[in-house]
Amino acid sequence: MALDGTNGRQAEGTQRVPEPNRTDHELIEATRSGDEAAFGEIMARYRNPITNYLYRFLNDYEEAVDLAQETFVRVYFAIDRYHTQFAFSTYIYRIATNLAISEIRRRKRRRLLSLTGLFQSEDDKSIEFQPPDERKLADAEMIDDERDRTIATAIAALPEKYRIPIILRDIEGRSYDEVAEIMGLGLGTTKSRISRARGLLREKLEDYL
Amino acid sequence: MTNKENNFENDEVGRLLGSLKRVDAPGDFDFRVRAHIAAGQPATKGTWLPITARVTAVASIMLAAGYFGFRSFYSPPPTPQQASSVPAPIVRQTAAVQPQTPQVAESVPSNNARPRDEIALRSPNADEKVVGSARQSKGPKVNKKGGSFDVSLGISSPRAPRKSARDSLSEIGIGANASGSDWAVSEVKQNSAAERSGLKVGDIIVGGKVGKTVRVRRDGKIVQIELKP
Repeated sequence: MALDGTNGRQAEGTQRVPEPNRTDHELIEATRSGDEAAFGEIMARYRNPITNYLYRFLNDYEEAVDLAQETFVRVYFAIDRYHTQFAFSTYIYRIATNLAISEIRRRKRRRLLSLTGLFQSEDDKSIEFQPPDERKLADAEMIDDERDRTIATAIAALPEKYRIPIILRDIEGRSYDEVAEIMGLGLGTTKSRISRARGLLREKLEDYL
Repeated sequence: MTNKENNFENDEVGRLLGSLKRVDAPGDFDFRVRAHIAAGQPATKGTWLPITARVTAVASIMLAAGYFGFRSFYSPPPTPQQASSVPAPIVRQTAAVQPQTPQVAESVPSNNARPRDEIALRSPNADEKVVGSARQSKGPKVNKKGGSFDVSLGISSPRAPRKSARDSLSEIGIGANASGSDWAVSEVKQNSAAERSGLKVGDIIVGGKVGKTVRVRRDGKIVQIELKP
């Protein structure tokens, strides 16, 4: 299914010359045998989708980039233990998801601590960060930005069990099967969660529909 | 594959989400990943160590604050006690003590428990300086006949006044005068513990302590005398 992971959108942001002829699994085999360029190609294929996924998940660009890097570091160190029966995209999204869930728990703990008033969390300020944009802002773009912010806030307000599948499905364009595999759930459960998530968002985003 | 109706109903939400601007990884992304990899260890985030460290810090501060707060709250105010006890002359103290003794003697059998076995005698020179404050102490309960003495050393709190060595000695029936840094027995009261134990006028108490036994210099020799209560 997603073995080669080289659909158009993912290849867009690559900076080096893409190697569309090699599948993800071939690149992993090459990395195992010491081919550093192959790992560079894996990063080129997945750094933007993973960063975007984590950004939508956490609604915090800096944190998303940090965790995306962490994801690749983990992939690199665990590359000998990777089994090829799963699609690599499933594997890497799963790692990113787990890291993001841990990060959210860590934030909750931090917020709990900061409630005592003894410790101020310096990270809390960056939650509303938007990625820098050098272009001049036209009115239409400002409206778009406003809309994006509202949608992002609505997504961020969803419970994790709805947030993960709807981002993977509707933003990352993963198939229902793959979303189910990433979450480790059955297909039926996954579909009903996506449907429920859309219903929740529909209530909040009526103005934009 | 999907429920058509459901899909139709929610398609616009899916389209809306799909139209969101995508963010890209920053330019130095690969470089930073490789730097992490070169460092060798996957950075571990979200360990419990920082939170436990912080909680421990808060807990220890609260414990310390609670401890000192408790102490300052429950320690007896020293000033009023001193103020009230200073004017009381020593004669009244002993008078107050004496009536108690027969009662205690009758009700308590001879070998009663003694909370303190030893009285530390301070050298006479040092003693004279604190004689005024020494008299402030609550009168010691002395049992002359029955044989137990309850002598408080008064060291439980640094503010508690210390009893003079002269008073301590008189409790067991010894009148003493300073002789250099020791105490010379100048009087042995009748029917006192000192008399029963065989202490004599002219003995010089050495060692600075009076407990179950007392060491005295008699005719140039050191004699250890067991005190009979």
